Amino acid sequence: MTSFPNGTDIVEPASDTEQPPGKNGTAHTLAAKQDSIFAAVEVDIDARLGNVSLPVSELLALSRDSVLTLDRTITDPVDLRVNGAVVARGEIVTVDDNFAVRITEIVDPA
Amino acid sequence: MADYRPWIPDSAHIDGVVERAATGILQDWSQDWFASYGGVRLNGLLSLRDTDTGGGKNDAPNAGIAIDAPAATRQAFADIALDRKPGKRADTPADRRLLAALGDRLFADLESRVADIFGQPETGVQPAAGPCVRIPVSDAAKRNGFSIGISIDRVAAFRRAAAAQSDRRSEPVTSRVPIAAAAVVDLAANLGAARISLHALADLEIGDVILLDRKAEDGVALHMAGRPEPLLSGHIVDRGQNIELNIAL
Repeated sequence: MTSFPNGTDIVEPASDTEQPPGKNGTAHTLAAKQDSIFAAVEVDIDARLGNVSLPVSELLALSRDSVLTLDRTITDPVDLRVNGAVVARGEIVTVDDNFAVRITEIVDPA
Repeated sequence: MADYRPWIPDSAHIDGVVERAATGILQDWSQDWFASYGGVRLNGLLSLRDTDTGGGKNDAPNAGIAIDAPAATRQAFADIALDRKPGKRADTPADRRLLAALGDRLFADLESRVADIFGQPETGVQPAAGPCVRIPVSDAAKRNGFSIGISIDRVAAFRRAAAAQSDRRSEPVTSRVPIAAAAVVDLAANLGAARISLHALADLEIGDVILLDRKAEDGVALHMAGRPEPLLSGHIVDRGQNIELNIAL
């Protein structure tokens, strides 16, 4: 994670150079290695803009410049999901020409 | 249990079932076949559900194919597995284990051929707890045996394959599978994804920015039924109402 001067953190994909936790012989349970495990285990997080349902006939008739209307408005937040579960929501931004999401809400897993 | 007779599927009938699954499912599409399903999980692909009680708790969320079986059928499987005379009933954990093992063996052929058609389930990725298409199966004497439940996404995958095949033949899909053309599919619009550590995930705070793997100029990816590869892409159009995507194909 890197920080901008304005205090914004950019969460970047985990680095391939990060090493898994080694055996230090001091921990009695894996809980003691939680930090290193959390640093080593990676998850995929995806950004869901919205959904649309349509008949197969309309799907097959889609062509370039066809328009699909999603079930969200432009002001609705984007869902950030891990394994299909929403963990946060945010607004669309771009960073270095890529899509990115600025988090506006952390979703309580409970 | 005077008239108890084990129900044993014969291979010819299974051939017919699979053929029906492959070609008839689109023609025989019926809302009546939609049902929530749950049951006792046998393995990653098959599950048995007690239809006598209308099913139980949903503990087979990832099974791609469910077999709904009345008690007599399930008992028949147990009888065969135990090589015991019909009527000697038991319902113990050992019985259920044998039932599961026998279910695997009896339906291995059916399973493999149905799986060939509808694809292997994506274990842990695509729960089949939602609606499924149920195909009733009877034995050679036309007695009801069980029904096969195939999750909607499997059917959707089959439809896509059928559509692709039709396209290759330069025939309009709607003329060959008119009912499938009326079926509704769900598309999910995704901005992209990122792989982050659990540590970063746990530390997420309001104001943080998640950098995604998709270029803004490539637009939004549209995925069907949780499939990893995008079916379409589109660019966001802001007209002040719901988000509209201008399809780029």
